[in-house]
Amino acid sequence: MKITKGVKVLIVEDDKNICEMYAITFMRRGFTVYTASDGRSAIQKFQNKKPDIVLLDIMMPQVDGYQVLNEIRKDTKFYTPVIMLTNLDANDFTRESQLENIDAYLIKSNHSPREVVDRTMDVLKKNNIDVGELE
Amino acid sequence: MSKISRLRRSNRSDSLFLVKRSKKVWADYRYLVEMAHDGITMVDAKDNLIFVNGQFARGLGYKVNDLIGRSLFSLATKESALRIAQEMERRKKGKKSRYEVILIHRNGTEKHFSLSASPMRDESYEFVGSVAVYSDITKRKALEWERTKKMKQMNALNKIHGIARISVLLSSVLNDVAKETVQALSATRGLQCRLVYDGKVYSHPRRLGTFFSATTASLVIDGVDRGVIEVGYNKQSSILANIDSFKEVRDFVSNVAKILRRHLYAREISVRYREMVKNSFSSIAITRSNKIIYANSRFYKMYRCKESQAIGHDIQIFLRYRNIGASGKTKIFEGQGKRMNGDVFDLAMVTQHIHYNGSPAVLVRINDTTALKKAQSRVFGSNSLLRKVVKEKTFHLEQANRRLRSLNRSKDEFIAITSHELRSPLTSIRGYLSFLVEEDSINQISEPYREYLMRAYSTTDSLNYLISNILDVSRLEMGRFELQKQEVDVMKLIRAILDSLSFQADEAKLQLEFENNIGCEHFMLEIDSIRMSQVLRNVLDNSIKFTKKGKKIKVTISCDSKWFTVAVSDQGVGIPKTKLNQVFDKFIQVRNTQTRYKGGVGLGLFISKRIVELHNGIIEAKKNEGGGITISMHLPLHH
Repeated sequence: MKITKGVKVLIVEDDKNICEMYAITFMRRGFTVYTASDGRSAIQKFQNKKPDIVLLDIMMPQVDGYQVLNEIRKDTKFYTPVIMLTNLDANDFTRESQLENIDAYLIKSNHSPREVVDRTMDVLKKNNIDVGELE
Repeated sequence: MSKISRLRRSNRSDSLFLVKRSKKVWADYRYLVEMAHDGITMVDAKDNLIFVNGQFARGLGYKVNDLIGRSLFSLATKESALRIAQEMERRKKGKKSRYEVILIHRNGTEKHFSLSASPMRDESYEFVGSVAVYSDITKRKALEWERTKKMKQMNALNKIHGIARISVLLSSVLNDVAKETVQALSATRGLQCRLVYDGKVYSHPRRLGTFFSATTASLVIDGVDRGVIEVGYNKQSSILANIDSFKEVRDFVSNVAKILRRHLYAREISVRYREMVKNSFSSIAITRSNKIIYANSRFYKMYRCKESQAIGHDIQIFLRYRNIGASGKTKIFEGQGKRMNGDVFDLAMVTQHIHYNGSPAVLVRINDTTALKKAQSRVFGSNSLLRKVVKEKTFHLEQANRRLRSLNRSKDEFIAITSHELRSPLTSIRGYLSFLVEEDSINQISEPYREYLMRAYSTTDSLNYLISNILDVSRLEMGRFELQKQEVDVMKLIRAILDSLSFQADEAKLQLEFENNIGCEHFMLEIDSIRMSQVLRNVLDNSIKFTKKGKKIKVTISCDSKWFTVAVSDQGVGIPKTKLNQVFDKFIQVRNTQTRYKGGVGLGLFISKRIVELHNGIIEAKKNEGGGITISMHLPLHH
């Protein structure tokens, strides 16, 4: 199932294998994919490419996911959905971040790349972002 | 008679008038004599009555003529006759006499008279007899006697009062009282007195006869019957008919008893307090302007001193420091005392203001507290030692605690990070494998490689599940396991889980049955849906793992007024009854001959139990009749 409209997704992930895995899956489904392997470049890419949705890892060197999220949320005019992708459990990271700030929270190891894309589609629909016809 | 004849003789030559006149005078005299209240007599020189007036005769119950010519002695008692003879001798010498006699009435009773007699003489101054005037004093005498008796009794009572002194031995007091009582009543012969006090007998006389007509009075002292006083006669006597005498005894005995009771009470109180003070374990002293005016024996013992060394001396010499104050109130203080031999000891002292012999004084009570002080210091010493030890131990414990806490934190972080680090490669493996097992790719792979691939993929699932469980356990143990409760349709939740497990069940060739005993299709409960799903999945996984091919697993839901219950019943290998409770323990897989190691660590049921308990629910395992076990989860309807 492919989407017809060019929806832009920013995948922020420091593990190259995982990043590539998600990138492949999203591209197969017709998304325009941008990737960032650390927080700083993520913020840059977010500002330059203006993605429709962000998949955000938490544990990253130097600038972590929380800081990236804060940066994204600084833009109060335009709301960008964020899906937290992590291998930390909810209990571990709700201490620092509030779940209300994000649109979904997925444990990477519990979901196959395909399921991750399916959840991303759900979030897009919820935020009324047009993905076009499904083929 | 001779007086009158003399008168006649001297007037013989006078005229008739004179004769008449003398007759008139005679008659007047005679009238006076007859009408006198006193008896008037004339006796001759031998005390024979030559004249009596009517009053005298009547007083003795005779007629005048009966008495004329009778000797006065025959009318008197022996003692009085003697006295009469003596008095006549005095009159013969020309002296008047005035005395008392007892004459005997015709009926035998004694009559007391007071008489004054004068000698009569003839012309030659020869004693020819006496003329006497008798006054009846019987009544007065009786009164006097009565008074004397009363006085005697009063004296006796007074004497008893005197005898009853506290300083005198009790036995001598009681013996003397008995004696005095009998003597006071000595007018009546054969009297005896017995005193019984505290079971001891005191009497007068020593040997007692039988008591007749006894008068008794009990000796009740301070509300306690202590004895009796008894006075009576040792033989039946006619005198007892005399009611007056009996009354007299009774009154007297009651008075004696009264005195005795008062004395014995005073003695009792005095002895009681003296004993108290004497036997007191405290030293007691009374001081006035710091000078000791009294001290009990304990005081002398405590200070190793003699009475002379204490009485009249300043109490300060018995204290190590000058600290006896004279404040208005009771004062208690602790200090040190100094014995006569110079020894110093610990004491506790109480001073109070009192009155002693009518003037203000200070009552001082002293207790030797040396032993107490020693014990106290010992206790204090061991206490401080204990405190020191406790402090040290606490310090060590705190250190250990801190170390443990930091270790725990490290463990926590270690587990979280390890899990994270384990999950990252796992995600890759699982993700890339998922590309291969997706339909369009799997079809390009031939058997048996396709099968190998499938196994590798499902194994990564197990590994992932295991990591999640380890994370959960570590969180549970740190109390950092938080539920996020929401109103959830449990029925939907259960169905979803059963659906997701159907593939696994089919693969194991097991029947999965669902029985709804509630009667409706939706049931809302406030639970953490993710965690409860985890519980159900764990329980069902467990059942699937331990049930053989072709057998059945049944899920039943029911509910009562308090609980919503999910029961998972299997036909598995079952477990011994004694180990039923252990199925929820960490890392437990019950082994018996029929079970093989089924893989996985026994964390699932442990986590499930804790999650159910966090929901205020109960999870329990029971052996089934036909083999296998049933695990029931009860969730409360109301919180």
